[in-house]
Amino acid sequence: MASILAVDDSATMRQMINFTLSDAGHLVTDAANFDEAMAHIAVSRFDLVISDVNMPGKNGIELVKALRATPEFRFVPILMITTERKEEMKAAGKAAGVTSWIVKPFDPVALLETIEKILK
Amino acid sequence: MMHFNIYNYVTYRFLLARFGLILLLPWGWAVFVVPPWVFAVCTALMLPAFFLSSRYLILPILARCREINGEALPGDRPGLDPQTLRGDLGALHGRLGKWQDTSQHTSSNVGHATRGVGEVISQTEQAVLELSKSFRGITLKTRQQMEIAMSMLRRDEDAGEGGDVPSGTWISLPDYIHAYERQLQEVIDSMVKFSAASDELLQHQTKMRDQSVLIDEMVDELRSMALRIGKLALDSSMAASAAGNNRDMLVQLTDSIRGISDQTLGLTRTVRERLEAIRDELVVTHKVINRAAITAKESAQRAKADVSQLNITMIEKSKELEGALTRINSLGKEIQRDVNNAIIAMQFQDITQQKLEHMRGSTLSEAMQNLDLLSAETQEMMKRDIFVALKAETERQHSAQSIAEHAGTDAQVDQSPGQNDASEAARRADSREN
Repeated sequence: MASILAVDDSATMRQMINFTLSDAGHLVTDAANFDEAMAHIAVSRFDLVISDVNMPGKNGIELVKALRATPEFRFVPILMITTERKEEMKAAGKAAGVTSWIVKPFDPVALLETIEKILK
Repeated sequence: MMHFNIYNYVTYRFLLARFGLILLLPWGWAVFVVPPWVFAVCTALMLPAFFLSSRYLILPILARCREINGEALPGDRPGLDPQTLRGDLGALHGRLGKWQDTSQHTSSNVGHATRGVGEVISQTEQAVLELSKSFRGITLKTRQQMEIAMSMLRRDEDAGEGGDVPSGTWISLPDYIHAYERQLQEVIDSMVKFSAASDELLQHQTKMRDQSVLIDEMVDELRSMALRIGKLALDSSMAASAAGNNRDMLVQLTDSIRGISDQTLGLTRTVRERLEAIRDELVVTHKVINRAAITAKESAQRAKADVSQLNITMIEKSKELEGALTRINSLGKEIQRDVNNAIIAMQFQDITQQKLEHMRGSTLSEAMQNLDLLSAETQEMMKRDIFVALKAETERQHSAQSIAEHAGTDAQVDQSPGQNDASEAARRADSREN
């Protein structure tokens, strides 16, 4: 069982991620935006961070940069789940420190396999 | 009062030229009779006379005629500068070109937005359909699981309540448990009977052991008597050899032998009685053993049959359970697939929302900004002199037209003033609309 932080501005997406990961036995914490995510990060440790890219305010890439700048989250895997398919955006994410990239809509089985692979 | 306007001279240049020629005609013959200086002075005076007459006589008359005829010229605008007019027209052309580009771009954006909205509606509809299908599948399969689980608990009518279950008859799980408990109780009862018989057999065996001990003691006594009889027999033989000497002693010995013989007879009788008693006990024991053996055999057979039946039923129920669990497991996997599909379909709501937000944030906002810019530029342009003059001219034309119509219909006005007022009001309304 892993402790996972899910960051997405869409309540539906957060719920779907929560359903999928909770059923697999993971402990999921939700955050709706950059500020909520940073508030959780300040008080908790997570084995994995899942984030959207396009969010109101600071986007997911900026969140990745902020996480990588935090010593405790420098090596924590970060998985992006987004509708963005552009290669330049993926390259920006990779440069910021993204571990893996999944395009919405995600398949729950594929998401769990990816997470298992990342956590190994 | 008409303002000086070069456009009026340009417009009526041919008329003014003819007017100038007519003014110069008298000087055509004078050139031959008057001195040259007089001709030069008079000719020079003709130019300001021509200008003044055209400025204050010809052109006002023509302007009045134009007003009466409802004609208008750009050059008549008060204070209109040709340079300004060209600048305004150039600006107007440029703005119109820009307006055209912006309109095309806005049209393209609106088309894109329309297609996006169509795509959004299609995706939303597809997602809703997929969701309803998935949840219907989930509901159906859950109901099937419940029916399968409930069928295992359903009582079979043929089996009956508490009756024996015929071999090969399908029974429900509660019936199966009841039959198992009933058969187990019968096996226990058989075993209890067998135990009671065994206790009885043990008691008879104890009695037989006691009788055996008594027989052993009597046999020892008989042996002792036999030894004494043997000794007496030896003494009798020795006494017989000396019989002549002591006859009384022989008689006494003979009596002693008789007594011992009587005792031995008594003991023999007792042994016989004991043997008879033992034989009776053996008969009883034999019966008890027989009964116990029969009970044990029956119990064993019953137990064997029960175990066989239980095994057969257990195998059947195991197969049924295995099949039911396999189907439940299969349905569970299908339900999980449907749930996964529902999760995928639910995400389209987020994708749809993001597309709508993008459309609202960029496409429609850009279109609105462009339209606002066009509106501002148009308003600014409308304040320019050319448009103000055009507006003034339009109003002037309407007023001139109304004057002309009013002059031509004075008689009718006198006859029906109300009707004429109404037509005037209608004309004013038309002019306002125009």
